[in-house]
Amino acid sequence: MKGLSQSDLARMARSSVLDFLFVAFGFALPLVSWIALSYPPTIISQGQAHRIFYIHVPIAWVALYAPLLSAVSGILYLRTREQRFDLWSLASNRISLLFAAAVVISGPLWASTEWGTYWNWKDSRLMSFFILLLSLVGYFYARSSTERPDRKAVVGAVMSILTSISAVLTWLAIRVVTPDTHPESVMGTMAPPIRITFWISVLGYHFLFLAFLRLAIRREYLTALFEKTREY
Amino acid sequence: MRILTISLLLLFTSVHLSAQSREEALSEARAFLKKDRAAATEYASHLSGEQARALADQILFISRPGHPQIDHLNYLLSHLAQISANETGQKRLNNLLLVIVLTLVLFSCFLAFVLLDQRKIIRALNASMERPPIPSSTGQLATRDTGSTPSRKSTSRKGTRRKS
Repeated sequence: MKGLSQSDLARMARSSVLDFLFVAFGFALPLVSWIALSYPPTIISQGQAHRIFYIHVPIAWVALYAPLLSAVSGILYLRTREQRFDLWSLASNRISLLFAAAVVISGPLWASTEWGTYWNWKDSRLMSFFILLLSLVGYFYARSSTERPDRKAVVGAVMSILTSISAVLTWLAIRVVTPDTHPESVMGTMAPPIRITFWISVLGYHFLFLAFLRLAIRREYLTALFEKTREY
Repeated sequence: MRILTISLLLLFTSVHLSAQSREEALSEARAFLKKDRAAATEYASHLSGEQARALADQILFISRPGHPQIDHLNYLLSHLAQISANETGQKRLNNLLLVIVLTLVLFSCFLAFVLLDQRKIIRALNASMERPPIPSSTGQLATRDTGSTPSRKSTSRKGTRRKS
């Protein structure tokens, strides 16, 4: 593994212009939540519960493509053996796990009023997402069970690629297989106020994702720098 | 006299128009009642609140001569619908609030964990920088940059190994 030097790690761990994302997030997310709660009209068949859509779907999108970002970093690591790609992959999967947990919390709470049950074990979308969550947990388990840093990075890269396959299958689950209870994609059928609010929410949660990713990557650099310092 | 005639004409015209529009509305209600259950459900599901209320009033108007107590039933049904709507609405609102609170808690916990952990690592790094150099066995001070003197690793400084 081509480890980064102490000075490289220190430079990357330092605060930078990218930290403006935190400020953007600080302003964006309360505004996004307020718009989602007040602007779009209530859907008669779902009542106020339909507003969960503006949290659940953007979060699910992030949870689905963060593993893809991680897989790209993993492939770059396998090709170049540069430590920074391993750190990016790790940080990306951390965020994915966080957002996937938020999806698994918000989805069943919406389903409890609309379907009369929290979970449906026969639904293709729900089950594929559950498998994605297990894959992410498996990634961290595999990493923590490997001692040598270079082996840990290789195992992480391979697991990232496998997790990204699971993410793609989850994305396809409502487009290829007709889900049992999960609503089908409504991208083309949204009324204008709902569509506007949805895209504003997507933007807001992506700011959050970028801010968290930046923070998580910096933490990984700091941890690596700490490990390096201990070696001296 | 002329004014009275014009007023009467206007009155008759408005009464006639009103009766005509009511008849049209009643025919719509009658047509609705003649539909089978599936078609009636489908038709009703597309009505706005105002349209549905108007249709219900017309059906009541048609049914009143044959069933004088229909208003009792109507009141009972609307009362039940109101209770049911309130209960479902409250449950949905509770779930929405729960989603917001749990998501906020989850993200806040992550943010707090990362920030606190970073702070801990930075403190540890600063402490390791500020620590006085360890004298080597030869009595010289060990430095980190040169590989010629014994490093800190050789002094077996204990530290917890971080796993990611």
